[in-house]
Amino acid sequence: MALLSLIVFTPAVGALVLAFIRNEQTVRWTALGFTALDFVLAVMMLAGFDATTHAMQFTEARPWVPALGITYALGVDGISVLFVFLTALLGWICVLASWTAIESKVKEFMISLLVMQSLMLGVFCALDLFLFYVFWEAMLIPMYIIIGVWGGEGRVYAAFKFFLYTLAGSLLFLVGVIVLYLQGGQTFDIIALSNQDIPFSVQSWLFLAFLVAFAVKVPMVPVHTWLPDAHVQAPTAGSIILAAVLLKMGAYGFLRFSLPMLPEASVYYSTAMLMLSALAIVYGGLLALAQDDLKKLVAYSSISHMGFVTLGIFTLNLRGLEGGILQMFNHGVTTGALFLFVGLIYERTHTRSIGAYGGLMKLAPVYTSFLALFALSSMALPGTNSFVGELLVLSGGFAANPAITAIAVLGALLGAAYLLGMYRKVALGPVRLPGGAKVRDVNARELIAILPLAVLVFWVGLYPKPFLGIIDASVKHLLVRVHGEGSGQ
Amino acid sequence: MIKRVVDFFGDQAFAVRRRQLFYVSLAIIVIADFLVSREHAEYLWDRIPGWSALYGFGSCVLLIFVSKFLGHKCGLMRREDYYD
Amino acid sequence: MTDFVHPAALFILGAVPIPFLPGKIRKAYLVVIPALALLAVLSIQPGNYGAMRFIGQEILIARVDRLSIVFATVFTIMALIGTVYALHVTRAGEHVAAFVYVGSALGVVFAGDYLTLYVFWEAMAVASAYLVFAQGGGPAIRAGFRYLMVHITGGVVLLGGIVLQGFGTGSLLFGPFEGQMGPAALLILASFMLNAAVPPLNAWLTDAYPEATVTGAVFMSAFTTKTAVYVLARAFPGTELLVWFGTAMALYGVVYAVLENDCRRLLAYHIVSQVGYMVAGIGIGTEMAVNGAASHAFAHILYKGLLFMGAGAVIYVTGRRKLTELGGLYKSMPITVALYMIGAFAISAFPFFSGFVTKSMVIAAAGQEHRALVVLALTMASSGTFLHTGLKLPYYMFFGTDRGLPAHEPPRNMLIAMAMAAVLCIAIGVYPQPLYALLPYPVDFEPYTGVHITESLGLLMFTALGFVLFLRALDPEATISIDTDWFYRMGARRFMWFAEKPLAYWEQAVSSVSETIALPLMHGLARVGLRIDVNGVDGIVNGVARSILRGGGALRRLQTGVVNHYALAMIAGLIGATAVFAVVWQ
Repeated sequence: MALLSLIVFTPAVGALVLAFIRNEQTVRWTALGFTALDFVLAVMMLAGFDATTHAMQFTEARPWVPALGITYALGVDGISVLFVFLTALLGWICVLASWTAIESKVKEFMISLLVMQSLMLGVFCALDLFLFYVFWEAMLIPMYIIIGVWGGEGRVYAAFKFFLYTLAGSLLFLVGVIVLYLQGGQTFDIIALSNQDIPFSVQSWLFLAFLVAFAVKVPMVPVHTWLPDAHVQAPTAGSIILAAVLLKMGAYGFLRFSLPMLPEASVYYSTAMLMLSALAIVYGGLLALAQDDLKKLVAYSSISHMGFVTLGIFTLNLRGLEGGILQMFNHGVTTGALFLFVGLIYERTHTRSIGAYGGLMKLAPVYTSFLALFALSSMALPGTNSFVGELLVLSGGFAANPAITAIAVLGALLGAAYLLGMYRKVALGPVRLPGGAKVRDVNARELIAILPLAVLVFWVGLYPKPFLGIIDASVKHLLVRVHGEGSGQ
Repeated sequence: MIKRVVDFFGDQAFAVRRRQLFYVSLAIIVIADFLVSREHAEYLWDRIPGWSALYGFGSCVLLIFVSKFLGHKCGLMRREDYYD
Repeated sequence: MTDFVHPAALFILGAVPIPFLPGKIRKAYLVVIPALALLAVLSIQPGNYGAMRFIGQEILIARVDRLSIVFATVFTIMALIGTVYALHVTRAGEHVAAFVYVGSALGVVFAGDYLTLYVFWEAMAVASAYLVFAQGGGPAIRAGFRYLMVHITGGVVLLGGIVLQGFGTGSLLFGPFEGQMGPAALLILASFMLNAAVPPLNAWLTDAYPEATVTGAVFMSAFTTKTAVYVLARAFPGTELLVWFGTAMALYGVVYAVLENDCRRLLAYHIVSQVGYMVAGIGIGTEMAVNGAASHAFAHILYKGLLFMGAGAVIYVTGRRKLTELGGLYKSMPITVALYMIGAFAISAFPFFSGFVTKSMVIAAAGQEHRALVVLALTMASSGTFLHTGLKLPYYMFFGTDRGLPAHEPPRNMLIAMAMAAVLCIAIGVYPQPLYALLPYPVDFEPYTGVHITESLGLLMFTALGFVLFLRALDPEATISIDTDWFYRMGARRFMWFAEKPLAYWEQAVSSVSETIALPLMHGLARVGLRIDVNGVDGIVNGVARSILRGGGALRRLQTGVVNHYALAMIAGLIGATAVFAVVWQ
């Protein structure tokens, strides 16, 4: 059965169904139903996934525009399957998170959310370059709408900036896609293109073209400035999905396109990429330290964490790559959770200013305990998921370029500083609340949204073997492609 | 019983007695130092009876005054709210 | 694996039920766990346990040998004593943190590889930080934050060293470093020295310990530094550097203690001083020296715990901690005074107390290696130790000017705990054989010779003479002393200023680039695209294009406004360009 098509389009079908429902509560429950169904399908897919092979699984291929050689082709391998799972997981969590946070135009919101879910899943599953591009571009529209309609006061500016930056990058990507099509033998088939040999001069140019698009998405410094604004203005669910999934697409682009299709260029530019990554780690960390706005703090921490991801990827060795991919997953879990928490407190107090809070530990112990857990995870405390990823990235990094990695380690320290500082101000100390707000602890619905993320933090942290096992074969194959035969070490 | 011992050391009433006891014990120690055997003495000064007594006293004085000097003259001691 | 129960598991897993147990049951449970752990440690057999793989690395969860057993023994004993001391505390969090802390310390002691060590090392830092935070109040929370940041920094340094070590040697197994010390060894050494509070990395200890809870400080005084001593003994025995640092440490602590006014901070400086003996012993590296270091650690945990318990009792009962505000308590707290003094005699190495049979071993080991300077320095430090812990502190706390403070003996559990420690201090002093039997190497040392006794007594009693004669000079003053933490406390302020002002302004400027540069550019490009459109395609598109042009004129005025038009224009341009491509390409 066409499992992947089902997974990709279930939310879209749900959006269609929602268009006919009038009652707000029914809308919410239906949206939850469809995303939960999608999650179940994703789990089934994961269960049936064969981790021993690097080949694409659950493949489907149907001709779409034969004249141009465009097929409707879907498939997952070790690199993409975890993100299909992550996206499906966060889908229903976002619906739960928006339950009470979104009060007007609930139907339109849920429709946008579901449509975006489908499009994001499509990005991860697409095996045809043109199909990928369609999903990639189309995804911007619901995100733009979500920020622009349901966001904070500066939402229009932020939405527009988001759209502008990403589109600018994508224009270059489009040109690159077309060149790739021509150079790669008139095919849009991603697998075929991954096995082509393209002359180095073309590769180099293509790498830079793709770099612009992916770097904006990751985001890498200095094209990162859309992220803090977008996060701050977006509604909670928007922030969660933006941080947890959208940012991964940039890194996914590197993994799916730059590395396999442009291997020599990737090696050539790897040192520069490592430097940019270290820059992102430190710059993001420093700016996070200076923030008073909770969301901006987490946004800059995202820039810093994604720096670790790109660092891992461009070490171009086994440990670094596995660490980078695992960190992508971890970041999705942990930062998604952190934005969820910021959203929860914003719902109660309507302010994101850290200086306005204090002593929440006494008012909402469950909330602050879980917040501590995710803050510690973000800091990469041993036993949590990020520690495993960071350790692997650092191991790979030291093998590739010790000096740059040493700078990256400093970034880890900054992470501890701003997260602990935030926690100290928000959770400890005397109780302080912004004018007359009442803070109640998490309720059952919110707890259900939090729990799977907390479980994953510990599971990956203490027993990462299944997760690493899933990506292993594909990463080794990728390394062979990048370095040549006999290098899958 | 413990209370009686502690009181002995605390109460003003026993001050004279304490002082006597103290000086007597000091004397006993110095005398004992002369009486013990010193075959294993590692260093030159260990052979001198009463050395450790002298060293103890000297160390004490040295520490008190050097530390106070460092504290007051070298700026180690500050007012209590220095960091706030 | 029924013959090996990792004591760390007992504590860490045993901590979980604590919040859920009611009153009396919880108290009984709290005492049972350390007792069980003690039994486990006493019956443990040397060997390697728990070899497995984690993310492709060989790890060894537990390596049991004489060195780890002696530390584990004293850790579990102290855990028991500390728990009894803290029985009156009703907040579950502190108990859980203490148990996790002890368990992690045991985890480090038994760790066979660096990864396991690192996990438990970080857990120790977090759990002990909780004990500082738990005190509540501004200074404690800030101190806890600084404590945690320092330890996390140390942890990052350690991680760096571990990763490099893994690369260099291909193995993460935890053992002595041979030969030349490369960057990996230096990083690891630095982080171990941080936890051992070797100056200049000592400020965290003297900063945070006095701010912790009364019961928490007792635990903290025992575990972090002694775990560091253990790992130093395991990995760096015979490292010359350590001899000098250790000797300097011993005097450093004593000098700062003269200036101190806060009673627990004074004791904290003495931790630095005493650990100096252990570090120097490890540096000397001979069998007797390492034996001395280990036995001194054993004795130190017990008598330091006793001293912190005594000072903690005073703080608990009077609410005051500064020597300038204390005095005259001997009338109302005689038992506390007596028990405290036993600890003081022990730390000063009076004959028949535990310090005497252990400290002298280290000094004798130094003597055997003909290190005159070390011997003299350590002996001077001994004098200083007695001066502060045995004379100055009790005098100003318990005797001295009677300030008429309302006081009474502390709760019974605290007295019992102190008594337990005191008994051990005397027992070890009088009959050191069982302790000597635990030590890693065979012991060839006889503490009770005539010379040793008269030497010690002479040293100590004449120090007392100095104290008596110069009493006035020792009067406490209401000041604080600045230590090496000045650098990062002041430094942090400068650093934050940098992050908040220049950097943030730069970021704002870059962020607005989109408004100041990119947007006008985009407008221009969109218009160009439109023009191509109009010229390249006829008919209906013309009509649409004309209205868009009109709208384009209005675009200028709609600078901050209708976003949709921009988007429409760009998408139209994009589609147009693609259409052109598609058409041309056929």
